[in-house]
Amino acid sequence: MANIKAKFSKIQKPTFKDAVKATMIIFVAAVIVACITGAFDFGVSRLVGLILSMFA
Amino acid sequence: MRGLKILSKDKNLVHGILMTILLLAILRIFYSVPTPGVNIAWFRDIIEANQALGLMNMMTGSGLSNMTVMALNITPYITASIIIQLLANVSTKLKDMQKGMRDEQKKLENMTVILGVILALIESVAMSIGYGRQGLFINYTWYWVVIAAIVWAMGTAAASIVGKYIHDKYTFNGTSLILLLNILASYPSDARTLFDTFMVGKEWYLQLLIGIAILAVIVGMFLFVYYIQESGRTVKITYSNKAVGSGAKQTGELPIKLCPGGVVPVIFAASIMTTPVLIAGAFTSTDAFWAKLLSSSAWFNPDDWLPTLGVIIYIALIFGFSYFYADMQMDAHEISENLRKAGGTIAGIRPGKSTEAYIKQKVRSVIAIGAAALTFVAVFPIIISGLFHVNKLAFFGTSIIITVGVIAEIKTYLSSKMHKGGYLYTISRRGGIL
Repeated sequence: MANIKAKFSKIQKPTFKDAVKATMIIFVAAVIVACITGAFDFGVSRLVGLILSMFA
Repeated sequence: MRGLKILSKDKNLVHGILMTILLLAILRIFYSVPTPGVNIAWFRDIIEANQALGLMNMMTGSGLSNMTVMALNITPYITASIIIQLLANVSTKLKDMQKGMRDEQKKLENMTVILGVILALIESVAMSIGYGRQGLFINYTWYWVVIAAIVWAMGTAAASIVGKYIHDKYTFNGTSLILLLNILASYPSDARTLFDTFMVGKEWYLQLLIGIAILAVIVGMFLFVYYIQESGRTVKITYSNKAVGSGAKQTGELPIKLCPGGVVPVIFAASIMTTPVLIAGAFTSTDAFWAKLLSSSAWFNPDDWLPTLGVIIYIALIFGFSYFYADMQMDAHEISENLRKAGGTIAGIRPGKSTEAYIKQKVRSVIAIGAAALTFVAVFPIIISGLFHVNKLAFFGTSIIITVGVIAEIKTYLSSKMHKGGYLYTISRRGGIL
């Protein structure tokens, strides 16, 4: 156990504040891009469906 | 805000971002074009029943389950680049190309695209014949098989070429961006699945509490993944033949990351587990015990615990590939040789064989922690999906590793541009350098 603890203590990590800040930026960016991509896909699939139904 | 103002002043960067968005948007239009002659509803049922296809479906942005012309998407190209990286370890010619001049590297990149298209063609033919015989096509004739195979391979070619073009022209990693959008596109439907599974039919205050708890778990996983991607150890190096102004010896650091391979060990492990089930599924039924043992969808099922033993193979593979990939990325022999040539030494360690052994031992001890963390991120969603019967979320951990990795890379790139721009911005506001 002491060996594992010693191994962990030598690992260099970002500070908690920096990690939270970076994670929030990444999470918000992911949510925004996910919403835009989802909306874009939805719109395009409707449009493509409409165009294909005109040829069917 | 000041950062955005600085970035908006860099015309090349703004042009690059806009062109990248435009190219990705054009490519995404094809995600909605269905493959001609295919029975989409039949294949969706197959995907629901056979979660071995789940990882591939996630990486293709549901192109596979929707049977669009992008059914294979960028995945054969990713497989091709992994194969080339592995071969570079065996072939000195490939290794020289990898480390050579820009022209040599470009040649290698073109080889990867061609290999990706060849793999896509092989996968397309196998899929259209294997699943075609079971009912994939409305009319199973050679004509529809050929059309589907060509269309899917062309989809891969288009995605690979767009990815490479973005990388060559606008610096961003196009392949990673395509993969990121594929994954993020499924987040709204994943959120819907979570809502349907855990919140529907409950009181409003319970819904609120569960919603907050789910959000906390997801953000916690993002935070954990960020930690494991940014953490590591450094080994101090002293250069004997380089002295700074005061006469003191120059020092440097050799960084060893917890997960130098990022998500690759998890993708490797999942691919090794799912490939036999995938091949068997194309030709016969996959109800056998061995198939359940290899399918993450059958693990942690409270009604049938035995297939959960398969998770041991999965964990062993993640650990194995983590070590393997770390050895590939951090060649201890090469590092010790480079240090010796540059006059660098590690305090208390003799140059040559001892340095090589020391670096190898340090890398191995760091990778053990990284592989354990990676295993937790990969297995935790599988436990949740098994216990609550939400198969769709089995690869959520893998998707978070890719999402955090790619966005963090873009953030670092933009930050470096911002700092460079900020320096020039300050100078220009002060009236120039002179």
